Amino acid sequence: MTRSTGPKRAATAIRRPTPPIAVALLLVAAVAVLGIPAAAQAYGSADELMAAVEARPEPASVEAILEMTIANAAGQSLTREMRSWSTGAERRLLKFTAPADIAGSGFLRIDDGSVDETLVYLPALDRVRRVAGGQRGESFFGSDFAYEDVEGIDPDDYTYVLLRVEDGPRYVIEATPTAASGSTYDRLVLEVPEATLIPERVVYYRGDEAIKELTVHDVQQVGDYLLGMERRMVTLDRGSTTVIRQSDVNLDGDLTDEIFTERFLRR
Amino acid sequence: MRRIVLTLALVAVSAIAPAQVRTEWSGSLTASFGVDIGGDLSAAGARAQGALDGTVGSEYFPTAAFRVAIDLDGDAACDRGEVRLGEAWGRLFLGDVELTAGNQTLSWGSTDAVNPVDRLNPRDLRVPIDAAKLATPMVHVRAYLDGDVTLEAALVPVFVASLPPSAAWRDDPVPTLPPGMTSVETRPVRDERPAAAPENAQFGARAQWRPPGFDLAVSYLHLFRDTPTASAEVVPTGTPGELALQPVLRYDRIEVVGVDGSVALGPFVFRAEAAYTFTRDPDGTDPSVGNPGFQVVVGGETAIPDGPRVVLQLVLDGETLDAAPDGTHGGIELAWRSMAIVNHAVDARTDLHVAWVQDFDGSGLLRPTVAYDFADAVTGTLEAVVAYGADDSRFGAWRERSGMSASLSMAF
Repeated sequence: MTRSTGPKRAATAIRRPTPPIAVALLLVAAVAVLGIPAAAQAYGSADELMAAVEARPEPASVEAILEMTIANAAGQSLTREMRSWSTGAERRLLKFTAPADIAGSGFLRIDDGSVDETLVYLPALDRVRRVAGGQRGESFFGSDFAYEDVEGIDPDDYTYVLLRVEDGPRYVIEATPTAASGSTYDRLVLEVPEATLIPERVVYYRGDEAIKELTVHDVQQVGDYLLGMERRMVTLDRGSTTVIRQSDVNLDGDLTDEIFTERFLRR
Repeated sequence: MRRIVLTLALVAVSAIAPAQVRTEWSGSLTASFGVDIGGDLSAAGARAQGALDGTVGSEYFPTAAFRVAIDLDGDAACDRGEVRLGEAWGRLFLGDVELTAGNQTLSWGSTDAVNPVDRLNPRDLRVPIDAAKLATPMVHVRAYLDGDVTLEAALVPVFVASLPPSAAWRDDPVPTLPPGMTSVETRPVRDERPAAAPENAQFGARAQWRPPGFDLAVSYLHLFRDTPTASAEVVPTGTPGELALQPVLRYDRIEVVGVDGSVALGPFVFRAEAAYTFTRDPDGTDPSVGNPGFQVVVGGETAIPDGPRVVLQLVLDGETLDAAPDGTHGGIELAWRSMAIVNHAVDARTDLHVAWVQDFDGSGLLRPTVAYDFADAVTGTLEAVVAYGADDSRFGAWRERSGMSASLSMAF
């Protein structure tokens, strides 16, 4: 909220005070007539907001332990643990450490403009396999997340429309993937609080049907950065839920290029 | 004196201390039960696998690693009980080179399930539809070069044959005798597997180029065939008109040259693999030596949104036929097969897997499997095997082996 200062404040001081009820009525009338959002907002369009989201300080690299809990509608759960290394949205490597039957499985995603590649390593086959773009909609190791959900949202892959601004302010944005993005979704509806600029709720649509919902919880200030420590994805028609929680977070560490290689994926 | 010894011990300990050793135990317990369509037990056993893995040095960039795995397997239906050494190797990381020595398995090739260039390890063919790889003594070097190129070389100093099909899966051949002759004796099988000698060493080399978007590899293998070429020698007994049969199993020296690769095009991944096998009997004139042949596999893979991952493949086998008695070339016999593999994660706990092979001779094999995770690392599996076709067809001989099995496995 921006406080009025200088001449504007002085002008208010010499005017006769306006009764609060009258101010409220005036605001309601203004909103009804002009369509001005109820909350003060810093961003006037979806593109401005998403530019701010993209400009939000992000660590150059993240190393963390992730715990993934997959629960069905009845509440029965399975847990997977993995180690994650990433440098922005460009390179990410995941290695499963538990349970024993999938330990050693790995996932490497590289998209740095010149290279766009997703590789999966399954120790039972002892082979590194390439996952094609169309397979980005596949379930990520049996969870409610698809591969493209794990990869994150590349702002350049979407066009945005501001649907509304809720109290907070909290921006509700519709994101439509471009044909070139290779996304398996038809549109996403994102809710972005201005305070964090983190898309804290994302609803994924195919056609008019909402099929999944992602929420981000436990947003913490870690060093210079705001991080969502827990991500919860719900598959709406069957009620299953996957929660990915990160811990032992190491930001801006020196992650060598050797980590993001097929060789390290196999190791 | 004691002070000197103590000082030396401290120096030795301080030298070892930086080389931190991490070890981890893992394993699995599996119980299985199965019946075939004749009502006979096809599986009634238990299996315990254990492994010790370790690294020396940094956790993610170690200087060395090792693995020792043991497999205890007992199955009353197959009258089998054994303790087998699985992978048991040590590996050194020398910059861009990895050197591995010991009992190990390697996977070469690009296609699914059928890999013409993946020949370095023998197979456990006791249940041939599983054909699991057997770890074998080997020295393997992998070098990562600039330009997305990987070079591999493997030396197999001692020949290890594939385990032959168990009695239930085997058709013992009936040899034909010259007209007017009678066999009075069939002698014990003479197994002429290559002895452990320098001239019998096997080796392979592979170069792979893996730039973004596709990969291409060429392989060369100098091996012995890991399944024998069976022949029967007719041995005179000394009595006119009476002969003894001497079954002989020989493991042919072969050279394999292969190429394989894959490419991602939009929502599809296309894979291909081909290999030609040269033998010491290029014209098919020696019945005791296998004939040359080739195998080509071409396939595509895609994932249907919210549906299964589907693989379709076409397999072509070609083999030089035995030469005619007058020495004329026997030609090449071609055999086609199609394969479909469907994998679908029904939900977080349930996986459906279907493999279907249809031979162009009319026979086929269908193998649906459902796996359910009861809890973390506890999985139950229900599987059916349906083989069909005429007696002399590729899969028809396995008709009686059709059946169902169930297993429960716990990994730790």
